[in-house]
Amino acid sequence: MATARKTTKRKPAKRKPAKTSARRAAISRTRIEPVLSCSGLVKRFGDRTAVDGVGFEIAPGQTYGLLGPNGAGKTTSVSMICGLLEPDAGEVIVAGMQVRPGATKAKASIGLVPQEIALYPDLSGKENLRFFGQLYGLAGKTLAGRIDSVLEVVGLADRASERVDKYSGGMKRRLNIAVGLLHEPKLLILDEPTVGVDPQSRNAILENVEKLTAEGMAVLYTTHYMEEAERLCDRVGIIDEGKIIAEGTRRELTAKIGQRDRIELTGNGRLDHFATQAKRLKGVHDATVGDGTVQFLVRSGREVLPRLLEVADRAKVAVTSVEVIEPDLEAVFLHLTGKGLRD
Amino acid sequence: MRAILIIAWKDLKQRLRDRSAIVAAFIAPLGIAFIVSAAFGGGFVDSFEATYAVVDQDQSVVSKAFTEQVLGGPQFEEQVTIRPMKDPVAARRLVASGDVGAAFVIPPGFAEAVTNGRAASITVLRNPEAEIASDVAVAIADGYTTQINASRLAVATTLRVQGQPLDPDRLTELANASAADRIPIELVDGEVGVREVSGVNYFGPAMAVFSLFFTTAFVARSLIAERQEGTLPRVLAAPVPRSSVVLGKASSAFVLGLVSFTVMFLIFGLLLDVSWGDPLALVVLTVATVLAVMGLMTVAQTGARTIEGADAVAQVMTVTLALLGGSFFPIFQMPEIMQRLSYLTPNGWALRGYTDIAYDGATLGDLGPHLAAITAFAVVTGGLGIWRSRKIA
Repeated sequence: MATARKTTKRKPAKRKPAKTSARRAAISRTRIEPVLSCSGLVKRFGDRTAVDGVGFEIAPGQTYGLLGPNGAGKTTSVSMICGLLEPDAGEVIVAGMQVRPGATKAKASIGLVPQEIALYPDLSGKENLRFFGQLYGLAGKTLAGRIDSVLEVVGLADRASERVDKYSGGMKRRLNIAVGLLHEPKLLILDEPTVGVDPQSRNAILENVEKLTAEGMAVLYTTHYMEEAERLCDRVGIIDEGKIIAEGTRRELTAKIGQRDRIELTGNGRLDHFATQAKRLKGVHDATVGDGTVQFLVRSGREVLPRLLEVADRAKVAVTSVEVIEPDLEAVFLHLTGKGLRD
Repeated sequence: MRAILIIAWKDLKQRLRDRSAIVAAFIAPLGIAFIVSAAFGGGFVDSFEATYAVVDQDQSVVSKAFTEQVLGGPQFEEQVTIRPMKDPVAARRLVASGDVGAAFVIPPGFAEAVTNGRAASITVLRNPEAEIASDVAVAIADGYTTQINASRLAVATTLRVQGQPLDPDRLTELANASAADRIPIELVDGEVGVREVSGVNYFGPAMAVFSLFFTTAFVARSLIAERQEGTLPRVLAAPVPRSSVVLGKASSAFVLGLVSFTVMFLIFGLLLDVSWGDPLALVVLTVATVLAVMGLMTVAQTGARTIEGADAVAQVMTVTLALLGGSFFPIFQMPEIMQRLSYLTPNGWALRGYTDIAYDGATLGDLGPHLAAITAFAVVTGGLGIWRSRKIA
């Protein structure tokens, strides 16, 4: 029940734009060489297996979300994918090259935005960018141009000469992302990039990610915020205790657990009569009348809603508000693991 | 190589913005060297002066020659003051009270024993609290008795070879000639610690090496700081060889160490007109020393998991090596055991090298043992540090 209440606060307007859905469809129709392909990744620390057989692919322009609670194995998986950790088993291929700790060529195709703010506080924003840009082989006018460009993207152009220790938390987060974008990587890895960020900066970060994928960059996004995964990701891998326990689009995942949409309708009039009439509609499974509201359990909210409103009109019920609540990934995770994402 | 330079430059920039690093690398060594040098005055040899009591119970020509020509001779004019006494007990009391560095007692019959070929000796009453003055007194007495014995042997040998008695005039002439052919008696270098070393010449490099421990530790600890602050994984995720991180940081420590030494050499050279000796030998010795200290600190830092742990190890290592290696006290004035232990430290070898260059005019060719020992420290500790840095992520 608590899960459902959280979901009702979500605004339908923040759903993925239609343009992205079309691109996603195009990707699924034609087989495009994935930017990232990892399979059978295993990492053990002593007796503990942190990652156990993780594998997935990300195509250009696609955002893959690795969703799981803290300690699920997300960061360890990311560390192997970007060549920081040597896997005990499995392999990682990025842009056609195998990634290992010593594989410098493959690493050049990856942009990493670590979970922690990985910046030098005693250097300015620009100096940080220059240092990391140089490590990725950028120099001269190309480097200067890229620095200006990413500063513009993250909205820090006017503060670039200030030392990072003078930045707010949100500004540091944005600069942290800018470093990852500097060398125009084919694969951008964002490891929990919005942890501890104010809502304004968080929204700016999510908008940036959407822009980048629209431009064709492949993004691996790890998070334990279900809302972010739902907003950004074309596909989601749900990870728990080192294993991917379910994978697919949001629809595919919610369909797996057989959940239905809920419609919460508030109005005045003969609500009992309206509920009885509505139950006869195809696709409506249940209706519960509360204090001035009726809650319907339906197969698909979008399909049922127009007909439901017609019935309300005939039953002389004056509808004041309607909310369609789709099943979410939190519910999927709860169903699969028996625990919440923030447990 | 490019990555090493990029990392080194970034680290240098960070260090130069940190005031504590500037203090550790430049201001502290200069300041301490100035203070310690001032405490030692112009040097170590100028401070040697001794007052000796002399009890001449023989009052012969031979005994007076010891007091007037040996102790009162021009070679000891500036260092030795004679206090003639009649009573050996009073002389012993003066020695015990520390009023004199030592006392010479020439017993009655000294000259007669010399003339008749019997054993002749001068007693030296030592003051245990004036070790150097006592040692010098013993050396002077030894030198004089050796001289007498040599003269006597020369005369006796001549008589035996001649096979017949000489006339008295010829015998006197022979004895005088033998006595004139003196075995030199002078202050000697080495064990008694009277080598002429100026304070700045010793403590300049001593403090520069001492501060080098802090300078290199400062840079090396940044490896742990980067790991804790999360920048290290980001650097290691970049397309650069893993070893370039450690080598880049080591390079910045190397540059900072060299600049610290150069500033010290220049400032003392220009302001105090200190002569450091052969420049080539100086440069090579300094490079080797910086590398060795860097190696030691890398071992300390790569073995630690936290900055606090690394600092604790580095501090213990620094103080121990500084004490053993002569950073606080001149090596040649330390007890024998400490002098031997100083061979186990790179700074001990380095300070021997710097004093050899400055005072003995040693050149690069003379520094073979010093450079071999210091380089061995650098190779072993640096190699160990780089090997351990493989697991820095």
